[in-house]
Amino acid sequence: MLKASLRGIWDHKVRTLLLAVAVVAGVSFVSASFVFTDTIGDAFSGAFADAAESLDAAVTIDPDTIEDDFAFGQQRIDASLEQEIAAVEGVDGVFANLTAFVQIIEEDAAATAGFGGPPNFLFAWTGAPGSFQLVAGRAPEAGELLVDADTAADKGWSIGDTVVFSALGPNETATLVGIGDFEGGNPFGGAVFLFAPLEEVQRLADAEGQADTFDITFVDGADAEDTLAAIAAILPEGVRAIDAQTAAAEAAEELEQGLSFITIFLLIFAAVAVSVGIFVVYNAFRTVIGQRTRELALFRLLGATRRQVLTSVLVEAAVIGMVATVLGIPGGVVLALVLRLALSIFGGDLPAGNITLAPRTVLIAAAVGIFTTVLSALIPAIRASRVLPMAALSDVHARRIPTVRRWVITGVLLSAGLGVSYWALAADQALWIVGVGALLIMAGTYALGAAVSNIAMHGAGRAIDVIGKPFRRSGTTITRQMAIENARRAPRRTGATAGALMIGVSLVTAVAIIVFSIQTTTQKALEQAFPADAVVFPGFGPIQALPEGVEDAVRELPEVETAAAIKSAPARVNGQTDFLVGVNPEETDLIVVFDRIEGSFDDLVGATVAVQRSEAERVDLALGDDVEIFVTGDPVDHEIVAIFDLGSDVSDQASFYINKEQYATLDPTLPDIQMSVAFADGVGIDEGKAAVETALEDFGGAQIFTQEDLLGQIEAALLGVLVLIFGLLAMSILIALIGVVLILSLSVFERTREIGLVRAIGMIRSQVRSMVRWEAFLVAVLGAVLGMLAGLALGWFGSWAVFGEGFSYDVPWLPVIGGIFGAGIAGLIAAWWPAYRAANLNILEAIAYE
Amino acid sequence: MTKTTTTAARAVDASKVYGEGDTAVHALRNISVEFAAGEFTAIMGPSGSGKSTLMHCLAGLDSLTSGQVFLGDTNLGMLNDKQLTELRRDNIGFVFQAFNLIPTLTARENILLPITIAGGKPESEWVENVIDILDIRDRLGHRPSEMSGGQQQRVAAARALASRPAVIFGDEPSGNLDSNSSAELLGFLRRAVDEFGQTMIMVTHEPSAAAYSDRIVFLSDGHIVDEMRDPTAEKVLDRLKTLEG
Repeated sequence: MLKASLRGIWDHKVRTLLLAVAVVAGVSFVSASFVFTDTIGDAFSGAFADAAESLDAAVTIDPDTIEDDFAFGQQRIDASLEQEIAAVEGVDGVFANLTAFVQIIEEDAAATAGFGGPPNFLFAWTGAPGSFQLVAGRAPEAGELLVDADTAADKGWSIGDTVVFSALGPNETATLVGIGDFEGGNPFGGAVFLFAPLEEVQRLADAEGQADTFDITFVDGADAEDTLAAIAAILPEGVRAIDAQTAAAEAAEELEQGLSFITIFLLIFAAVAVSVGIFVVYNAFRTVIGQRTRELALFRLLGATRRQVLTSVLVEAAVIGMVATVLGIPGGVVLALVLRLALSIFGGDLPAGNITLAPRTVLIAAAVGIFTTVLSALIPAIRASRVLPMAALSDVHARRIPTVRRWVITGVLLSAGLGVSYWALAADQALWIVGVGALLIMAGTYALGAAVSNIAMHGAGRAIDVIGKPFRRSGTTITRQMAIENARRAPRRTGATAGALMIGVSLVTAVAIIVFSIQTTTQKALEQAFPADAVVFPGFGPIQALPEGVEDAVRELPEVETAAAIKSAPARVNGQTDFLVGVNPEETDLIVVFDRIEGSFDDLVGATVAVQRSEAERVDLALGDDVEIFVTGDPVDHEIVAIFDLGSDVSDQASFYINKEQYATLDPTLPDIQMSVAFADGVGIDEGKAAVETALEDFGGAQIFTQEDLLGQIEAALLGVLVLIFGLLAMSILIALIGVVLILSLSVFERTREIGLVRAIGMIRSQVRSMVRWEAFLVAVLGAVLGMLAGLALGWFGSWAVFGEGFSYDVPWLPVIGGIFGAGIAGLIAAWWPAYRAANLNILEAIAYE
Repeated sequence: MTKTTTTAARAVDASKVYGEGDTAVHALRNISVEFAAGEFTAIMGPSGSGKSTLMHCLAGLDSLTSGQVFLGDTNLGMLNDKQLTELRRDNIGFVFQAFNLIPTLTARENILLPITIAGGKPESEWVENVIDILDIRDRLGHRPSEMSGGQQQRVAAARALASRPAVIFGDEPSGNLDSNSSAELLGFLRRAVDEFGQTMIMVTHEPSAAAYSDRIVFLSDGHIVDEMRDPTAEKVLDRLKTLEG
């Protein structure tokens, strides 16, 4: 029995391979996500471990004492601690580290401009032992810089050159005096490393007398544990001493965590690809089992037990899963490489280095590959084991008609899905409940496919008859009619084939609708809620900040009527983290369009706050009440002096506004984050923009955007997102198309005798091909239409989930309808091989085929 | 009444070899035979005698290794697949032993299939006539699975007649039928030959079926070994005994 099933696999090599390919994509996505994470992780840990090799200990802020996430990274250590640590017995050297984010100002303004790009770091040059060492020139003094060798080569700098850069302020000029490099090459591809003396970095980072961390070396022969304990004993609260390797591991982990979203992203697509693969494999196995009924019954008749039949089918599935795993893991490695390349092109700062394929990755990939295949084959296998021996003696090709039960299942699933999603969103439930609803909608649509396929095929036939009448060529009607009848013969199979395609198409449609809705909503929001002529944004760095002095410089321009910079950062307001915006009360009109203000922004002076009405109503606040605001230091009560509505229905605006000067007392280090600009009367948008741009040249990186510019930026960014998601979803559509190829091949195989007959009585090859292609086309279009319907629903709920109440829902009809035709054409391509096989069957063998 | 002696189909020095070398099987060995138009010819012989191969080659379903087959004046060896297919569609009718019909189409659709494949319009008067002669009018809207074996074969015969082909080939057309249905079907085919001058070539191993023909060609081991005119079941049975013995 086992031999028979292995022989079966070998006899159907193409089928086995196609089935394996249907599973491969899922395996690849899964392995890619782990390979990617491990590779990046190893590179980071390796680089940090190398850097820490010659060090013994580190002093850092204790992360456990940081209460609020938003305060993390802003806390620093008093640099004077250096002398105290150096005095501890056993300590040899102490090196104070401090990092500032800077922007290198290129001569070509366009090269400087733009968001993103690899970060530019300015470190304090400590001369500490480690993997990064001076290779040319000398250590920097005030007004001088040292740069890493890769950057020097990249920018064409040599010692003695002048470098212009900016660190949250006016442009700085420094002379390049040294070049350093990592031992064994730079593991942080793309990032720019600049070094300056500690005092310079402190000035530029606005951190006078402070350090981020200290690196420490011990004297030879000192007891590491004792020395570490002795250092710890003199440290103030909230600062800790750890050994150097632990510190390196923590630093690496922190960077890795920043990339974990990529892993999650990949795993989501893995889940989609795996589930489409499951449907394809299930459908193919079901069909094959149906066709093999006689053969299986013969085995039973000859004495094979049910268990043996079950095992033989599952073994076949497991072999397919293994083939998929073997193909999928290299696919995953390639995908991870491509992803790393793509991210570094788009300015991600990813370490180079060897690809890591951990044993765990192989195990998980194999588990996914084999388990999903066996799982998909389980129900067909159980059915196979229930074949009665007597079936060997009877004809079993019965036509199955969709039952009332199927309609009931479809109805229940669909209404449950729509109901759950609606309820979850309307009643503000957790997002995962919406997800459950979405899954139910998909399941319902899938069931709908099987229930509706016969009617749909019939309807399609009628529609084509009517539409195609004037164009009809002779002899084509019959091929289409036969194709439709073939599709109707096995409605569940047709429904399942279309259903696999439906999954991908529905997700694409939903994503397209959500992105399109975001775009139109943003556009509307900008038009409604953008009172300024233009906005100036900082152009760089993970800490977004406008250079100091920008506001005054722009305000003084004759072309500018007024300019208003704001501060904005997460803060703890009444115990909840929320965005807190600092504005100048006279200039609020330039920032946001407020509507229906109760109280007045004029009173926004000192410890006062303006609250959005929806937020005030939510927590039951009225004018005169106090709101507790915590930024740094101690929480401060602020009295509500204004409650406002927003002039637009955009929901992602901040709810709390305080006076900008008040913000400075709460957090003196928080820089301005953006600035609205109104041009003087009679100054055109282009003219005003050009004037501001000239003024901004002295402030590295800051850029002015008009409303039109912003829309362009948003459109470009959304397009990028759309392309990325479509690219990944294309995989699942591809799998579904492989499913079309498989099922059509099986159908052709099943109808060998019929095809032989029609060939004998005079159907030419092109007509046979056309018959198969019509079936593929109609099944693909059915899948796409179902996918579109599900996508319309998912997109509606998705937009609701993204925007909340009052969301806008915009369907990009042209691409959506176009996509259906695209699916039809893809179906025709999928039909190529089965059509070829059908047309080239040997007529005599086909007629004699049992 | 003298019969016209036009030849509907003929084989000239026809040989067919399957396989190569030691395993080669000579299904036909230099056969030359003519089939007169308007005649009902049966091809008989034991299994493996080459009777089916001869029919397949005459009908353009298989090709010869050497020699020629002609349908009317057309040398089938000179045609490509498309021309051959169109020749079968327009000039040849088929009645196979079983599975003659497309299960998804109704009886009427099956009957008209060769004509619709050709994109032509059926001669409705003729087709209606055929339907009546074969007594299947009340089955026209049914699918094959809803018909008896005899009805299915009659629908197949109607399809073969519908396009008024030059020759109808039958491959054991009554082989799966009980004696009543068999007699009915063969009677209809006989009528088609007598009343409409239809040429009919049928492979069979049943003497009772062969008895409906005008002429029997006996094959054995790839050779034509004998011929018989105006056969009866008894005469055929006797002849077969000597052939096999």
